[in-house]
Parts: sequence; C-alpha cells; structure tokens
Amino acid sequence: MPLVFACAASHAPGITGWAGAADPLQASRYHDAYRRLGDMLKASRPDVLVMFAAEHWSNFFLDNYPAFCVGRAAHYLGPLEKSLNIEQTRVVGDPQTASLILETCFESGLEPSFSDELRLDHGVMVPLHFFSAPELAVVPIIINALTPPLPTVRRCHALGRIVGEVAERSDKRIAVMASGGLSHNPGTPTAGMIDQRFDQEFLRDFLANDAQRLCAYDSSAIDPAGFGAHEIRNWVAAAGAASNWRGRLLAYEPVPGWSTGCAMAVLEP
Amino acid sequence: MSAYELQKLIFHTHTRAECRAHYLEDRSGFAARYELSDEERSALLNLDIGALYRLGVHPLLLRPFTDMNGISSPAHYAALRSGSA
Repeated sequence: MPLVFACAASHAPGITGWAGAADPLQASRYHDAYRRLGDMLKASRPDVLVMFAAEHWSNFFLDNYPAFCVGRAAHYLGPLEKSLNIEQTRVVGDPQTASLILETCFESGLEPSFSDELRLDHGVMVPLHFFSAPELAVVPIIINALTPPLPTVRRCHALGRIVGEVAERSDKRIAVMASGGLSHNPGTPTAGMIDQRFDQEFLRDFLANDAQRLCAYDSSAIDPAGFGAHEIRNWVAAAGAASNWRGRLLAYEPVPGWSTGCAMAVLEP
Repeated sequence: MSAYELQKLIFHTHTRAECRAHYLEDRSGFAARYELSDEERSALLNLDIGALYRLGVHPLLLRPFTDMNGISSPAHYAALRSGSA
C-alpha cells in the first residue's frame, strides 16, 4: 500500500541531554513540535517506521564502514549514551520489512550492508523518545554521513525511492522518517556555529521536494555548514521515498546551545 | 598512520564496557594494547584535548571520550579552542 507518513527532524543530543543549554522558548517550541510530530505519526497508524538515520561511532569503525546499512534485527537496544537522559530500552524491529527492503535494493542494483545487531544512539533514540510509541516497529537504515567517502546525495535519493517502492509492495503500513541535520559542526572549535542561510536554502528545496536540486548537493555545498550537515542525506532519502509529496515546515530553531540548526518537517500527499 | 589505532582505542572505550573499565582502571596499561606513536600516547595519557584533535581524532569520538573522563562541555571546548588556535 502507499506510504502512510513521511517526515524529517534534527536529532541533536542536546535536545534531551542538555535541554537547558538552549533558549527556553526555543527548547519549548522544538519539544512541542516533536510531540506534535509524534501525534501525527500515530494518527497515520503505521505498522513500521523506516528511519533514515546517522550513527555516530556507535556501531561501525574504520575497519569496515558501510555506505548504507539496513537494520534487520527483531529488536535493538538504545540509547548507547547515558548523557541523553533517555532510559535505555528495547526497540522493536521488523526483520520482514528489512528483508523486503534489502531484496528490493539488490534487485534495483543498490547493495546496502545489513546488520542483525545495531546499537541505537541519539540519531534514532531522540525522535523515539518524543514519539512515546514503544510498540512501534522500527527499521533503522544507517547512511554514512560521518566518515568519507560518503555516498552521493543522489545515491541516497535512489535508496529512498526504493523504500517508497517497498511501501507500495508491502501489506504493511509503512512510515518513513529522516533523522539528522541541518547545519552543525559539533565537537569542533566552531561548535555552535549555525549556517542559517544553508538551512533555509536546503529547507526550500526539501519542502518543494525538488529532486533535481536536492540531488545536486555535494561536498562543496555542504561542507561550509559543518560536517554534521552531511546528514541532509537522510532528508533527501525521505524525499525520495515520498517523491510526489510536498513538505510542510513544523519548526526551525537555530540553537547554538545544541550546536545545531534544528528543523522539522512533514511531507504530505 | 596510527591515528587509526588512537581512534580505535577511543572507539573501544565508547562501545565495549570491558575496554572502558580497563581504561578507567589502568590507562597506561590499556594504551599499551594499541600501536600508538609517542606523541599519541602522550596526548592520550595527558588528556591533551587540543593535541588529540590535531592528531586526527574525530570530534564525535573525542567529545564522548572527554565526557567519560569527567571533562565538562565548557572545559572541553575551551581546551579545544586554545589547543587548536
């Protein structure tokens, strides 16, 4: 059946871990937006949420770092980081949907890696914390936005298109979410820098779901917005999954205390 | 070349409880398990944040590592900014 829901949101660990570092009004607006997003997700009655997410040295190292990895486990444990103030919990997986995604990818000429054991970090757990839906099955798809060489943004869009096709093929009600971005350069001497111009331009392209413009993002366009901005790959994958839908912005809060241009949007038919 | 080993050491303290425990109990002994240059070993054992960053430790490995060592966020960034200036 068709995709039932698509959205994207930033996942900075400070959102839950050090919420007080943000301007209280900004924090309140972003937290409220996350709760509203959770309500909208629930209203779509999804059987499974496919999350395009980054991981942050929680699973993979330089001995073997995949461009894409589909989580195929029956359950996951997260978060890894105590600093998030999120109680560690068991997250339900969906091996059947993960396998269908993998099979469809391979048939389409795209070969992600897969894992039957992933540790979930803030990239997945911050959104799930606000969704308060412990019964919701999740298929995490890790996209390497961390350590070059990174998959091209165009390739991420193609991955998303395939997930959209899987939703059409599946009997299950599939929702997709992108987690990550926008501009940020955490852990570096310029942490707290937010490139609002980059964020606004990217949001314009995302909300229009303009595949041509989205696929044109490359390192020269992304690097000035911080290494974390490469997580827009996840947003572009979600745009590919819901390629005929258009976006609606729920929140944009540039929060220096969280070192992130925090954005949140839904894509709608 | 061995920034690979330096990062691997930090990655292991982040993802493996037994490595974290070993590091916290005996930093020098734990470091001996990895092929570090003298400069890397010194930066690691002295918790020289600016040096670790300059040597190539990824920012998202470095900050959890300094956090594990009880270094606050303001102290981490102050050291990073002074050490990388």
